Amino acid sequence: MRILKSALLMTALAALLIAPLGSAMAADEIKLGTIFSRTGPLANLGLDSWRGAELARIVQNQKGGLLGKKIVFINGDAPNPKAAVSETERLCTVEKVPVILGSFSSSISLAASAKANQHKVIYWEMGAVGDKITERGLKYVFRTSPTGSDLGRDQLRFALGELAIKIGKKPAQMKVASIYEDSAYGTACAAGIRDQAKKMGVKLAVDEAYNHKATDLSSLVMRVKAANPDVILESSYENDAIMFFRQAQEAGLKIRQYVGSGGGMNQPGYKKALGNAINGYVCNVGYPGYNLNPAYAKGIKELEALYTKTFGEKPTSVFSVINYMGAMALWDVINRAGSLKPEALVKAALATNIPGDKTILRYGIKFAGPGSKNMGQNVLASYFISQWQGGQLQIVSPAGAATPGHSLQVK
Amino acid sequence: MVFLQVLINGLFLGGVYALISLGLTLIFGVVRVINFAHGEILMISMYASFFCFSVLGLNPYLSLIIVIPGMFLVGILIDQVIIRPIRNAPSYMQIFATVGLSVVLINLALVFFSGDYRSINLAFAKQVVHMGDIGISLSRFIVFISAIVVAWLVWLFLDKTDMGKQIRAIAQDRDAARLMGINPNKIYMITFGIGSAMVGLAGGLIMPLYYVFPSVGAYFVLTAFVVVVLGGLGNMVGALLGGLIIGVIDSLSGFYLDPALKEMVYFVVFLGVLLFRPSGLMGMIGAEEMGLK
Repeated sequence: MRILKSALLMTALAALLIAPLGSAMAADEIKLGTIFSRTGPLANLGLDSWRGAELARIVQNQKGGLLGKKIVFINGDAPNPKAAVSETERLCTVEKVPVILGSFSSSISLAASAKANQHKVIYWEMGAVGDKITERGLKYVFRTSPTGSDLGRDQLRFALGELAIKIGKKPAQMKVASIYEDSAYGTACAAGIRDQAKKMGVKLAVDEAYNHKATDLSSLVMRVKAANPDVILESSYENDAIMFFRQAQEAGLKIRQYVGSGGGMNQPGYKKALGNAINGYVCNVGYPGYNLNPAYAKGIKELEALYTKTFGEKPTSVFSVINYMGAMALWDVINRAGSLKPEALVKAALATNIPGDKTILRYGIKFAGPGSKNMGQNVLASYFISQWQGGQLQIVSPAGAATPGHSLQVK
Repeated sequence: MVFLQVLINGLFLGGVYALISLGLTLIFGVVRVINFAHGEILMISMYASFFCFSVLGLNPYLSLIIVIPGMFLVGILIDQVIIRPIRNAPSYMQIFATVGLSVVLINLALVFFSGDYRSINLAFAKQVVHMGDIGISLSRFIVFISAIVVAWLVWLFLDKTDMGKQIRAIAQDRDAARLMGINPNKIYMITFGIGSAMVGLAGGLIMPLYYVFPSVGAYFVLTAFVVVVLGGLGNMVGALLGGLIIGVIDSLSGFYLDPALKEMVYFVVFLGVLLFRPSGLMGMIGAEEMGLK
């Protein structure tokens, strides 16, 4: 009994001692929330995305933090959309954070950002691609990274831009086929291609959907072959991408280049199944990695070194780069807002105009304003193009960003 | 010329469907079990062929001499362990058992082989013989010819040999056959084995063309069920014909209508056939009751 009493007394004393210390600490800290999949099926890439934001936090704290205070993350774990909602609720009401950074997965972002918006908490998306995230007219939701339909937009831009030059044709002479798997991913890309084609006044030679579970794509191959295109813009998963490529080889389909949009065409399995045939023949639109030219993406090598030092391993994916860039943009917004009040933050965010040469990925940041159909979306965000060369994906476009020693090839 | 190419593509695709369906229709016609684990037997044989290639360095066509007998044994094992105890149970019990087996096999494959897509990069599989504007893929041609030969061989086996006659007798009337001194358990076991060995052949032959992952069976087996019912349950020639018809419809509608609509077109044809010939194209009226023809 006596022991218990003294233990209680000690605890109370300790609490008294620590409590003022705690609040003193809180006074020179800025607490921000994060929502990523830290456990569950998406944990690998979710956690790697978070690491990008974490690096931005470390870098900024070394520079003195924000508004004279250190940044502290309260990390929410969202293995699925349902958990994302309850964790967001906790961050908004219990932890009372002014901003939440997220979230890699589109379904998690959709759920969490709607909840944060209800609480007038800024939701800062840095990696999820679902177009819907910034198409709901939510005032407090911003996204620094490009969208799903931007994939399609950049596929066509690249095909009619650098690729056309390399092939030696004028954009108007280029015959472009667009094929896509018919789930949300493929249709978003294809819609992006269609919109961009309209903007550029180009007619697509083929615009066909297919089911990625199909056991045969020979009829699609024949349709493409009949149109005789120069380039195929393809949005597919891994197995169907392999099958299309093989059946196209069988049918003797002759094109100059495939331009994929990530999905399955940048996977190791795709390379393994198709071997050398894809080298110099298959490009991909997507996020860049640490193989960017350091003269273009200034600071990329330092970031990689910091990553390795902080987490004790080499970067496990490319996702930390875009999340790092997104978080750095947020620090700019908070500094200009001068406060953590939601209205001040929204105002500062909408006034953002970071030129390309001030960011690590060299695209600028400027958000679509109220009234536009994608309010809160960074309209300057774009992807990079990589190409399979020697069994590796090497960045080839924009030309300045190309991995040292590599440039776009065509057959 | 394009039409001819599309038609050939369709026939070759039909050969794949037919080859997978032959084993299914045999097992259904004789053992009277709707084998929902058929796709997983295909999956196992594709993995077997894959590992023979990647570990032992065996050409997939050569490894058939391992895969086919191996799958024969797997079939016997499934029949004796899973099907035999519920031989006389209501058919829905048997369906539950085979669905359960399918789930177990898919998940075992996930544990051991992971969910990655694996394929064989074989130069021969890419060889195409050109005749004018028409390209003929050698490996697909082999599948096509195999389907026809296997259907013919099995038909010959059932029609001419003593064992075949016993199998047909069991299929037609189990009790009468038993009175004639036929051991039903042995016949069921062998039939299940043969059916599985045929899937083994299918798996080995399509491995150079496709890729394998744990749930690959589901992609093919739905079509195989359509083929079997379209051709007439338990009918070899029906399965061959059904496979070729579905393949050709798939290819033609994919080219001339829309790749996204091709499944719809062949299901519409399928529904039409069932409306006018409920027992399938080659099935006798009441074949699902009477059995093998």
